[in-house]
Amino acid sequence: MNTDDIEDRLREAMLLHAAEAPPGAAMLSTITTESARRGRRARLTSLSAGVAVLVSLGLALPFALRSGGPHGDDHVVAAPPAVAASPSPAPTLVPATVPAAITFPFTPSAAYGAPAVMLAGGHPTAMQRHAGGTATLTLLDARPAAPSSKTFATPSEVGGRPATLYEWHYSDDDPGLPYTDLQRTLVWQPTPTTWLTLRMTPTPPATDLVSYAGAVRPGALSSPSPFAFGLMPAGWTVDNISAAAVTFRPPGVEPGEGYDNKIAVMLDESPATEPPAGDVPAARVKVGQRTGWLTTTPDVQFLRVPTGDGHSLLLQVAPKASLPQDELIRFAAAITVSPAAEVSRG
Amino acid sequence: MSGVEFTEFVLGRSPALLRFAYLLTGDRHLAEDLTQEGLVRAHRRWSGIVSAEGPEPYVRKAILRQYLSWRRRRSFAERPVAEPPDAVAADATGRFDETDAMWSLLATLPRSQRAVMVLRYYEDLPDAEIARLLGCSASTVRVHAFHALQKLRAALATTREPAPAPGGQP
Repeated sequence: MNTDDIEDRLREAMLLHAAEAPPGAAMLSTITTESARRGRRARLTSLSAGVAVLVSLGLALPFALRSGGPHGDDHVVAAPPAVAASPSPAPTLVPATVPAAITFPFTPSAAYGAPAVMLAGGHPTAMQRHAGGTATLTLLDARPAAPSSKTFATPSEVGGRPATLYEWHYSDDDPGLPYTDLQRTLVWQPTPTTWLTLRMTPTPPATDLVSYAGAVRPGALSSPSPFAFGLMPAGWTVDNISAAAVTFRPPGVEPGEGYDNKIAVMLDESPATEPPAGDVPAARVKVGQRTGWLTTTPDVQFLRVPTGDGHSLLLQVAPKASLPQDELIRFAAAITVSPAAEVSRG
Repeated sequence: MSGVEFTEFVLGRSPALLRFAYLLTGDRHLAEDLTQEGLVRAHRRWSGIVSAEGPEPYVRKAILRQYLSWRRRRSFAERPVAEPPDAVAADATGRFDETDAMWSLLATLPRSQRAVMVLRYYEDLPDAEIARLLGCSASTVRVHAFHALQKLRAALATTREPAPAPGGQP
């Protein structure tokens, strides 16, 4: 295949798939509302910071504002780093209780390749490539709620057991979203104390869901954790473990598949032997015997530690999950990368 | 700020901006997030950007910057793609399958390389303009493009099965 040919294929693929982009019909009101909210927040931040400085120093100091480029937020006072924003006392580090492997007690059909097993939002989950998309099985210890308030539920059956087929849209309960594609979720109870949910993307006919679910059998699948942890913050919970990342959520943060308000630990593609490029300078820190780089911005903190094999350990810390710097470094120093870890491309 | 002007811009240009973000990310929800964030930032400094480079380059640059540096809001469900897609059989729908394979392979590229592919082959921008948007030199853009095309070519070659000749003829 010559260069012209591959360039033509690229153009063709992008033209074809560009049509799958969301319509964004309801975007305007969301944008103007969010913009107004940020304006109010910025004014309050400026006011409170100004008062604090005047009270403590007795004189006015110029406020340093962040860059006004597209990569910066407006009117945010360049004040306390993320680590100072923790609303609760800093937790102490205790011996970690992160499992060395995740187990999923059911096995889908072997016809579609080996499933990936992970902990997702606190639930054991198995994902398998299926018919050009992905099938996701999630194990729950209670019957899940309907996916949306406008869900259409239909009785169904899986392996002779009663099941429910839910049909819904992401936009059902979120007027800010444009109308989204139909989603189908199948729920059934394989044992008296457990429930399974099945979702497939792209959304297949209901019969495909039922057929796939009918092939699910008891039988444990297991995947090793990508990292071994020596320490973790007391009282925190691990809610996601995959080959790509492990997340720790502090008390008060709901379990979920996102990274917000948590510490996420990943293996990054960069070697991190030099300070990372960017607008915010990184501080050189000693992490065990290694030299790492700590970048702190008002809304996230990154700690990068070289692993010595061309990659780096990356800790992404949200403000609500901040630790004192020395505790964060102790936490990172006690992490070992396992052969199961997949490199994240950022 | 002219509210009418901003409204017209969003209504007129958001579909194109969403397509741009979707081609960068391959994820509908993420594309919406990035586009929305870019437009919020544009709204907050509308009068300044209208009189400078214009709103669309500003929003596209904001989307690109977020895409290239974005990590903190990444969903756990977004997993790295370590391997090229499974082999694509050559059949009557071979052309369509290869197009699909190409789309899957785009997800295996580093972000900077994917961004160059989208800007060059979807937006049809010259390397100098791509360099300006990415904040690098034109030679760096060419290096990204070279590596990306090399990787795509190699991966596609391994996924292509030689089609048997009809009737066993060579």
